[in-house]
This record gives sequence, structure tokens and C-alpha cells, in this order.
Amino acid sequence: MTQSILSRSVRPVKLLLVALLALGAASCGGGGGGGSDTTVSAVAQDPTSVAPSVFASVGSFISFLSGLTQSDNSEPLAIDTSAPPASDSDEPTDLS
Amino acid sequence: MRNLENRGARLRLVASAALLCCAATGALASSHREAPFITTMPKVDGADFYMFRSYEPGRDNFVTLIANYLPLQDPYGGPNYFSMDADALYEIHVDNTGDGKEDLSFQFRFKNTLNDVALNVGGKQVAIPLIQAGGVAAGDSTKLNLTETYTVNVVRGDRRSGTRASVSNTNGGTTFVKPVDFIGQKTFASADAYNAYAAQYVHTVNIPGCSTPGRMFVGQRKDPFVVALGRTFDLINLNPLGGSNVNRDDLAEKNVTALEIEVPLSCLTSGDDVIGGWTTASVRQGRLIVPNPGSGNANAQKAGGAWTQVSRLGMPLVNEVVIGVKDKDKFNNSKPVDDGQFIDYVTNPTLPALIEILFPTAKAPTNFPRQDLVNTFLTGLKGVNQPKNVVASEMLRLNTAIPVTAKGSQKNLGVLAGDNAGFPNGRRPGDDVVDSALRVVMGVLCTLNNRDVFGCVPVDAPAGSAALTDGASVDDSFFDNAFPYLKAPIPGSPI
Repeated sequence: MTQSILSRSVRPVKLLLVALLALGAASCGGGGGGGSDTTVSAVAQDPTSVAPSVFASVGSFISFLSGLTQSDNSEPLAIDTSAPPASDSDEPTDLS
Repeated sequence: MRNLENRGARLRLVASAALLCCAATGALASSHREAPFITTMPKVDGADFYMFRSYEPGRDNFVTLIANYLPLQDPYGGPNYFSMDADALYEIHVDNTGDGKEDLSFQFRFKNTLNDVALNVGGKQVAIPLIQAGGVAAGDSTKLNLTETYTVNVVRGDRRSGTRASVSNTNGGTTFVKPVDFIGQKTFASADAYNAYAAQYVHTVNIPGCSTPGRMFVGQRKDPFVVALGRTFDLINLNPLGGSNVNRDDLAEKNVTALEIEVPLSCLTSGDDVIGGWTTASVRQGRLIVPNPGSGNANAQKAGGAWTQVSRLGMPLVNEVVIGVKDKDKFNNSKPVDDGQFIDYVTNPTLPALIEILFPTAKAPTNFPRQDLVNTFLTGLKGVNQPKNVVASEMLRLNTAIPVTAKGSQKNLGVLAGDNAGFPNGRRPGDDVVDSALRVVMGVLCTLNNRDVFGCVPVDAPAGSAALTDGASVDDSFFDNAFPYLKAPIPGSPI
């Protein structure tokens, strides 16, 4: 029971970290953006959902995905109705 | 030895040289689930690629290109059956200058539309759980709950940055219908009825940049590949010197989805009779799984980013039995022009060594590096299917100047049997690439004693004269004599 309570209290912190890490990565660019601005807001309004700014460009979207860390005890982030940006002319972003 | 001498006398030099292509590119099975990552994405798993001058009577000025995807379909795979990935890009590429880069790409995109058929149940309209709400027939698709359509772009130049234009039908429309899979007897009444239904979707098309219309078909077909798949991968659990048609074809009851386009020959070549072809599939680089998808047909994920290649197939069997496991995903992501990175798999192939381990009397060729395989694998063979200005790269190469061989006269060992219109000069559905490849990989070309052409002589290939086979045979009688050539699919419930 103690463990369960502890896990619940830690979860929001971890989610926030995930979001901040992702947004931090997104703000670094990441390439492959088809010339779009890859800078996104450094502050997530809601740590349980994907920030709309992630969908602003291919670069921010891929950076966000690259920054996601694996978690065994988090719920998935909510996603709004925005469509991720896509490019038919760019090569994939190098993730190495 | 006597047989070998007789065979050697029969084969023309160019014919033998061309066969080397087979060996260089592997043996045993085609490209079904051949790499670790692609096993997780069956909808974009390229299974076979064919490219040949059309042998339908009166169509020999056309080239038919067939890319098969989504292999190992069990016909009874309802209720969703086998629609294509709407978030994927399927491509057929042609290099007509020999530089290892695509000059022409046909890009297929799919769209699945849910018709949301509902029944009035106790006063409420409730959606049904099936993709069909009743019988389907030629001229009557009103009972389909899911409609699959596709568009095709032709890109000239680089596949991403080149010039795009849409393939259109005779009315100028650019959206084409893909027939639903052969769900079964009750839905379609009979095999003939399904054939009539599917035949509606053989489209006459205007291809941008081509003065003559071509034809196009996308739909489920019986898998044309024939192989003793299970026995082969069970450490070749068969008699490789036995009869050529004594083992079960493990794909006999499987379907596949074929992307077919018939293009005027003059529209594919560019100052060289030899063209190279291959197929790829790509998905968006990023996918987010939606944790709470709304109602609909394609709301469970969000895909974005650039197209990222996950499947590649030119010559059969390459990634399946030539490329090492650790590099199979890399190969699927690679471009022909970068094939130098895989050179060791050709110069020092493991397949002959494995065969020798399994059958100690079958000694592997000893001419290292296997220059014979290198020449054929990466360049095509001079005088047969080598481009004038070739850059080493792996793809299926077709000399379009070689005349068509009519159905009924085709030899399933292609060039090896003196039929230069067949594999490895392109590939027809009836070419038995497994048996051809087995023989070449063990050095049959070395037995022709022409070091200048093949880089080896008989003493280099002690087992080169063995008539190796997987015991599952295919030939042109398995297929139709007209586009789209491949047979109708196996029904999901008996006829």
C-alpha cells in the first residue's frame, strides 16, 4: 500500500520530466524539418498531454518522439486533434 | 561429368553469365518476413518483385512491373482481411541510366474509407462488425462496409525531390478502386464471379510523360512464389538432388497483395536498352499511438515526419539468404547506390559454406573473392543485362531488347535453360529462381570454364555440376497469359 501511494505521487513528476525532456529535445531542432521552425515552447501547459507546439513542424515532432523516454509506470500522454506534420520531400532525420 | 559437358555445350556464354545473377542474389525463399524489423510491419513487407516484357499477345512493347506486399495471407483472415497501410508509401523504382539511382518512381498511396454500415436494432442504428454487409459482385459493391482506394504518382528524378505528376484513368480521374479481398464463396458466389468483380479494376491509365496508355491493377492475388519454405529453413531438410517437384509448396494456400503497372517500354528506357528496377516501402518516421482513439477507421495512431524506408526488394532472395542477420534491417533501409557497404556478403558468401556444412560432399566454390558473383550481383553481365554506364548496385536488371518468350514456351530456369527472356534478365512469375540460384551459388558457372567471364574454372566449384533443387517447382502454366498475370486469390471459404 505504501508503495502504491508512493508510485502515484511520483507519477506526475515523471510525466513532467518526460514532457520537459521531449520539449527540450524539440527546442534543439533535430533536422528534417522541411525548412520549418523547430522551436517550441519550453513550458508544457499540461504535462499529461502532448503540447500542440510539438506538431508545429517535422523537426519538432521528430525531436519530441526522440526525446520520449521509456516508462513502465506512466499513463500515455493525451493527444489532441492536431495532425502531425509530414513531408514528402525530406529525407528522414538522422537519429544516430 | 558427361551431363555437365552436354549442358555446357548447350548454354551460350551470355546465357551462363546471366545465370550468375541468380547465385549472387541468394537462394531458397523469396523475401517473406526476411528481416527482423519488417516482421513487425507485415503491411509494408515486400515479398517479391517481377519485371518483364509483357508476354500477353500484342503487348510486347510494354514492360510489366509487379511488387507484391503483405505476404503469407491466410485467405480466411477475416473480419478485416488485408487492406494496405494508409500511412505508408509503396514505390516501384526504375533506373534507366545505370547510375544506381532512380530515374522514375511509381508511388502508390492508399486510403481506406469506412462506409459505416449500420443496422436498426431495437430502434437504434448500430454499426456492424464486418467489412461487408452482404453479397458483392461485378457492378454491385453496395454492400461493402470498407472501400479501399489508391492514387499513383510518377516521380521523375530523385524519389523525394523530383517532379511529381498523377497517373490518371481515361476520364482524367486520379483515384482508383482496389477490389476487396476474396472473402469467400458466399460473398462472391464463385471464383468466376470474383474474377469478374476484380477484372473491373484493371485500369487503363495515362502515365505522365508516356505517349501511350498503360494498365494498372492493385489487388489480392494468389502468392505466385513457390518454395518448400519450411523444409528449406529447417537446415535444408530435403534432398537437394531429388526430384524438382516432390516437395510441398508451402505458399500454395497463401495470398498476397499485388501492385501491378504495365508501362510502355519506350517510356522506361533512356538511351540504353537495359533498365534496373526495385520496390521499396516507407512509413512516416514518427508514430504516436493515440490512447483514446475516436470512432472511425484510422484514428488509432498519428504518423508524421519524412518517409522512412523499411522494405527494399530488387533481385529475389538477397536480404533473405545473402545478407547477415545483423544487417538485414540496414539493407531494407538502404539505396542501391550505397551497396558497396554489403560487398563482403557477395565476395565471401555464407550460403555455399552453410550448404557444405549441411551436406559435406557438396563442396563450396573456392574462388575468393567471388568475383563472378560480384560482377553479376552489382553490375549485371556484359552482353546480357549490364547497363552501358553501370555503377555497381543491386537491382533486378532487364534488357528490354531481348525478345519475349510466349507462355507455353518459357523455360522456368530462364537463361540457364536458353530462355534469355527470363531470370535473371528480369524476372517472370514462372521463373524458378530457387532452383536457378541454388545451382549458381554452388558454382555451376565455374563449370563452363571461362575465367575471363566468370572469374572461375571447374576446379573452383567441385559441386558446380549438381542439379540442385528445393523440390518445389513453378512454371508459366501457373499463371495467366494476360495482365495482371497472377492468378485470382484463394477464397476465404471453399468454392
